Amino acid sequence: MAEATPTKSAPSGSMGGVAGLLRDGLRRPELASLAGLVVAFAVFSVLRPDLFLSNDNGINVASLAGQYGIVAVGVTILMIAGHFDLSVGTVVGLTGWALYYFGNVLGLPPALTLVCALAFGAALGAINGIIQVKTGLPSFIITLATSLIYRGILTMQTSGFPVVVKFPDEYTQIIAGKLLFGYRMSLLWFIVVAILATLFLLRTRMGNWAFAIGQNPTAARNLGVPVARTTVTLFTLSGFTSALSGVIAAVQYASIDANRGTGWELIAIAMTVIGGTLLTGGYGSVIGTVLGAIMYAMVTNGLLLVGLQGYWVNIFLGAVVLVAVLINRAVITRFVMRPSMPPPEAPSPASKGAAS
Amino acid sequence: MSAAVIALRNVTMAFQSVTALRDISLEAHAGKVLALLGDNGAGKSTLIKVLSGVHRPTAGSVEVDGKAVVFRGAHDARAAGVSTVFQDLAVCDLMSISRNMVLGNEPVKGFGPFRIYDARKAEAVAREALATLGVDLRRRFSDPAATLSGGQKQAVAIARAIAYGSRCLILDEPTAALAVRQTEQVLDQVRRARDAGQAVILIMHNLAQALSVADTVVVLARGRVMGQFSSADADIEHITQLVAQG
Repeated sequence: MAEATPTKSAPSGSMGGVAGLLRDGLRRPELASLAGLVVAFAVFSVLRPDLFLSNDNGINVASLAGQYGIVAVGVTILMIAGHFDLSVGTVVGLTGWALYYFGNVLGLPPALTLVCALAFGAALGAINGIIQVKTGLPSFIITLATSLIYRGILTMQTSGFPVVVKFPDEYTQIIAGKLLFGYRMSLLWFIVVAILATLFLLRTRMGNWAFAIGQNPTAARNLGVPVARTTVTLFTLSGFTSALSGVIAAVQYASIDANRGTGWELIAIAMTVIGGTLLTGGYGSVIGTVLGAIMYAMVTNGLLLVGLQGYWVNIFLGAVVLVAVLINRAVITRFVMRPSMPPPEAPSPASKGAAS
Repeated sequence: MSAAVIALRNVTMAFQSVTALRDISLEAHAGKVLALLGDNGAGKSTLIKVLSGVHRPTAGSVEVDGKAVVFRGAHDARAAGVSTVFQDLAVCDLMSISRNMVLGNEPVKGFGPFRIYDARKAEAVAREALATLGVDLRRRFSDPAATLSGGQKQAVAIARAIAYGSRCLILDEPTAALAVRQTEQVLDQVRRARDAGQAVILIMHNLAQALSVADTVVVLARGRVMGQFSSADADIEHITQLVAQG
């Protein structure tokens, strides 16, 4: 507030110009993840151009990014609304079992099997949301509890072992088959989910409510925002994205597994945070999460291609998360919270009457 | 004088053994400012909650446009055009000014499931609403609300209430945490809202500020109305004593 420069003045409502565009750019939550992605790409391209720039590596990165990234999109939407979902990993595993159960045990037709499995995962998410709304407990604790419960049920159903399953050809191609140039369908689904989620956040009323609830739930409630309905819907969406990833994983690996999805929730949170979404809610972007997911996959593969031992991957990714959070915090305090034009020096009685 | 936009008739509000409000009667008229003065614990917040539909009075009635009504919740009060602006809870800091302005009433375009947020309309709403208050934020509407001063955030909240059908504006300590210049801005906004036909109820504890905008001052102490004065013939010392006695 102190560094007002009274000489500059711009009409309200239009700043425009290069400075305005630059300021808008610096305010984007995706900034750190985009920069990190460019750096990671450049470094690995220089170190191992032969392997890193190969088509095979592209396929691997896309597959890894898509698998976790779809889950991370749901986590992002929830985190923007100020909630955590630690149950996404187990929902991934349990939905794989549901796909097997509805199709191979109950013998439902393939299309119906798919719909039921996805609805099952969405319902698991809805349960989290309903418990949150009814009890008011922190979602962190609720989803920790339900993730244990869901995991227990999955282990019970699978006897704790990976089970090889033959899924019907009707949907194996569309769910996890080949796309183009060897890329898998999961990449397409990742892109579709990310686009829909972005439209949801930026172009629907409920998207606006998600941001508001994440920042100032009391204000949102005072203004008539249906906080409970929105919260349950967002948890349901998170369950749905996890279910989609669970279905893809089950079909792609042709198996269900009691341990599938273990730890995915933390990877999804890492991708979300790298992507610039604020851990405390109210600010973030799905595009950022997409960049975060690609960066995660690129670093994971790149480090191995460069010849480092597997344990370096985790050490390096941990550092990446920390640095990303620091950069994101700096972006918010330096650019988002500062005005793009000087604060009014005089109490601006200039605009008596109609401000154009 | 036409019927009050909102009025309390002999309202008593008791919570088990504690009686927070006792036999309160007051009226807020369109185009007038009513200031409620009182020390901490005088019953001001309970009074706001009765007016805004959060509490239902134990005895007595709430009238809107001269007819007795029962608010079953904050939603009912809002629907009747009674809106409350809380200072700290007015805006979402990291959300853009225009999105803050339409929060809960987002304009949409398109049909059915394809209805999308109408950003242009939201900006128009923001521009028009702020013009009613004569406020120039000197910001782009896409800027986050965090870039606004306390007084400007208050302006956004007031403009928002007016834009969405408020007829009675309840402002809870609108100047409490503000610097002198911003306080002056907010009091100016209050005058503008009054001129736009709002019935304004101001909850204050600064007497001088209250007198500078209010048409009527009501002094509240220990849950009772201790006195009601027209600003024109208010005796500052007498009112100060009344407030202090509480």
